[in-house]
Amino acid sequence: MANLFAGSFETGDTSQFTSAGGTAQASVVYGGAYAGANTDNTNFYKVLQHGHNPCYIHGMFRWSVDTSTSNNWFVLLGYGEANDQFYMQLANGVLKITINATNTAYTGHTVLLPNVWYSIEIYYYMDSSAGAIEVRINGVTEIAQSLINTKNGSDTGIMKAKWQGINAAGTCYVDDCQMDDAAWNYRKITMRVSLPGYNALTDGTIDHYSIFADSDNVLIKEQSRTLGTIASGGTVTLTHGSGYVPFYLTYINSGYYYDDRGSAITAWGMIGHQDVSSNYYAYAGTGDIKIINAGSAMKYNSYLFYDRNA
Amino acid sequence: MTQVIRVSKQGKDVLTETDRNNLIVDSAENTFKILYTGTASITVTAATRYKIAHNSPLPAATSMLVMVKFPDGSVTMPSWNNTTSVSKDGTYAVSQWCFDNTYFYFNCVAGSSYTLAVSWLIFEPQL
Repeated sequence: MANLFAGSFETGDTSQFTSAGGTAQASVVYGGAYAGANTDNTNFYKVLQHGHNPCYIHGMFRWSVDTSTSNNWFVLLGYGEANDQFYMQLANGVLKITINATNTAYTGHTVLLPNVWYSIEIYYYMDSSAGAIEVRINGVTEIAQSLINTKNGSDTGIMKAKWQGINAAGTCYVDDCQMDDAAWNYRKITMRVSLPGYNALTDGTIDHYSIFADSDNVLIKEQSRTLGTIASGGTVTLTHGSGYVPFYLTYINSGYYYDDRGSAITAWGMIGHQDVSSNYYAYAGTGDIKIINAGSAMKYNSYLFYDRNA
Repeated sequence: MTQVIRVSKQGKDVLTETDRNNLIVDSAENTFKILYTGTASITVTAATRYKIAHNSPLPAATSMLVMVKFPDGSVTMPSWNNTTSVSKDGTYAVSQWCFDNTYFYFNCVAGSSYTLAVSWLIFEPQL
């Protein structure tokens, strides 16, 4: 259960593939220094040692010409040990996949624009009655079918894949070709803003980024912040209306604290839920945050976030 | 039509998603920023009170998060009130953390002759 093939063209040639009519070039790339380029009816294909079921086949594609004029340009094709299994085409700018077992075609709806990189990936599960396919563009489902016949002949899995893209004048650039029998391999379209001195294309350390949107683990989205005074014995209710318990931070400016000499001072501290010795506490519900003060009047400072906590 | 920059989670349509929890970046919302991070090692010689200069870049800091690491390797967010935060082995404990514009103050209520590692984050101030 693993990645079966990764063709990045980073060798500067097409040697990663079993055969290639297209070329490696460095002018238009998705990632790294090289990408493939196909012209009219050229392609790159890879033959594995045996068939794999299921099989995920991924590629980055970018067309240099208006795709709305496309007339069944071949994009991705899959083959079993002995038979053709599917062919995905670009017709009038949208993807269309035909299953060889039944000669049935399924058509998407997203028009692919010229000069834009697209992540295109297919999941193919081969079975004569419980077969399934799913085509994703940039990680979003474009075509999905299940409980269909996807088994052409006696093949047991996908053994060969072909990356093409264009059957007309122009160029289809190809990059990040992948075959996998366990997981999707598409590259997310994301946003990175690195700190000065770090390469946003290659650096993988989150701390080196101002924005690293590859994962949702850096930025928290603020809903509101409030600075006020809570009366002695009072309660402050901060409405958030999320419908869930959000992440929040609450502080009080209290005279209950002590400095390093043990003298009472007025200072800031973060507060949580009530414990045995506190005169003040806060708790969150699905509609609001409540700050309770059983002591004397004091300032409070609270931040509410959109991010779900529970 | 308002123009925004958005990145959604995998499988979510960035053009139509309304649940903010499914948006990794959304320029329509403020992303809460850490303005300063600091670390210090405190030599605790006795169970008594200590202070650390937090070096906040703000003239009046109002929000921070603090983590402490005890000699047994356990790490915790120390209590900001009278409840003690105790190390995993039960030997060390701190309580009553607070801060003003210059210092953290805290009480080492158990253990002596050890090094307490402290790290902290200082957040955006109130507007």
